[in-house]
Amino acid sequence: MRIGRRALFFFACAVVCFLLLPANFPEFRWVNLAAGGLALFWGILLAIEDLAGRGPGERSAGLD
Amino acid sequence: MTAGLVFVILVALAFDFFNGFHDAANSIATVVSTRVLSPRLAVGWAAFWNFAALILGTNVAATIAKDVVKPEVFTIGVVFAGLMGAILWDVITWYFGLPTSSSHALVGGMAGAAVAKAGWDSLLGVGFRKILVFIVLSPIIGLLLAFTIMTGVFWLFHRYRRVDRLNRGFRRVQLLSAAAFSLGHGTNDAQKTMGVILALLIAAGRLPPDAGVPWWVKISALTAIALGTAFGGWRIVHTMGARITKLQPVGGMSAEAAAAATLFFTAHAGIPVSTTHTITGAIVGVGTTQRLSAVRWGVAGRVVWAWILTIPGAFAIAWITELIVRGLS
Repeated sequence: MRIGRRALFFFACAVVCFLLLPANFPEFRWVNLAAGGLALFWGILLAIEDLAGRGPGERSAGLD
Repeated sequence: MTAGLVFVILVALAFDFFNGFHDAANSIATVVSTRVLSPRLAVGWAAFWNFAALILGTNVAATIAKDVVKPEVFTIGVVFAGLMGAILWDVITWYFGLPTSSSHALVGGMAGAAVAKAGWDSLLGVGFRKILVFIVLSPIIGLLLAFTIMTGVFWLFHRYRRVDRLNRGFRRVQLLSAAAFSLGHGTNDAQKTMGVILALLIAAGRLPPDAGVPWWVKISALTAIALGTAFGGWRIVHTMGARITKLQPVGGMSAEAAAAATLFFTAHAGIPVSTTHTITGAIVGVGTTQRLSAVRWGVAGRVVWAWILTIPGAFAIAWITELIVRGLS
């Protein structure tokens, strides 16, 4: 079992947000932290889902 | 007012009209692709909410007028050249069906014209730093919020089996999310034109340097963008709504709500961002809830290339136009 591309995609988003932290104005750095934190959160959840062997299709209620 | 000043104000409003024509299609792409509204009704709905942005603030206009280029560099010729750079770039990308950012075209155009007139020192780091950081952040925020909303909806309704009824409910909610996004678009994009006209009026000595946006500038800019929306840009509707990822009402609602929240925040903070970037990020976020392959990365990649080229492209056109204007005068 290995981590899927979606989890890696969200980890990459988190990295971009954190890398931009020094470039942003101090009053807006919370945006980088919040967005990076959210991306990290989803990345970790998706990685756990991948490692636990659950497919992404299980959560759909037919809405997608 | 002098004839030159009136002429350039009309050009600015024409840019705003094209902005509506080019960008506001984003407001209706998801409602059209999910068949919540017919294209004609969707256009009217979006145009109305574009104009309703009259009630919101003008922080983005202040950033464009005072934080991107040194206000003393602005002349009628510089603003005209900047606008021409943005308009020509928009027309080129519209022709090729690329959903690029009119906002960044405007910033690139103003910068190109200012540099041609007074060199690189005429640019201000404050505005550019905000804009460049949020070029990257705004689509990521849209993506993350859309993914979060969509996943939240899945969690809430995953045991609900009456999917048809649920989709009908989301179609109604999507009318509200489309309205919110159009409101965000109106406040963000029309304010850029307000900022240009404000800079022009200050440069012409018609307003003091610390002046706010006059009411007639607000009304004319919002009217122009709403009319632009009403005339629509169907090529881009097609690219945004159907070619990046396939959407259902719940996805459209999530994408619009996420993009609207991002636009309200950035408008309040006075950060000019691209509505196109933001809604594209949000649509990708919705697609990502299924699987990465649900996103057509070829089209998304083409859009990214258009983003990268927008500021330099508009900059170059405006730079050349300023030289021509100066040569002629």
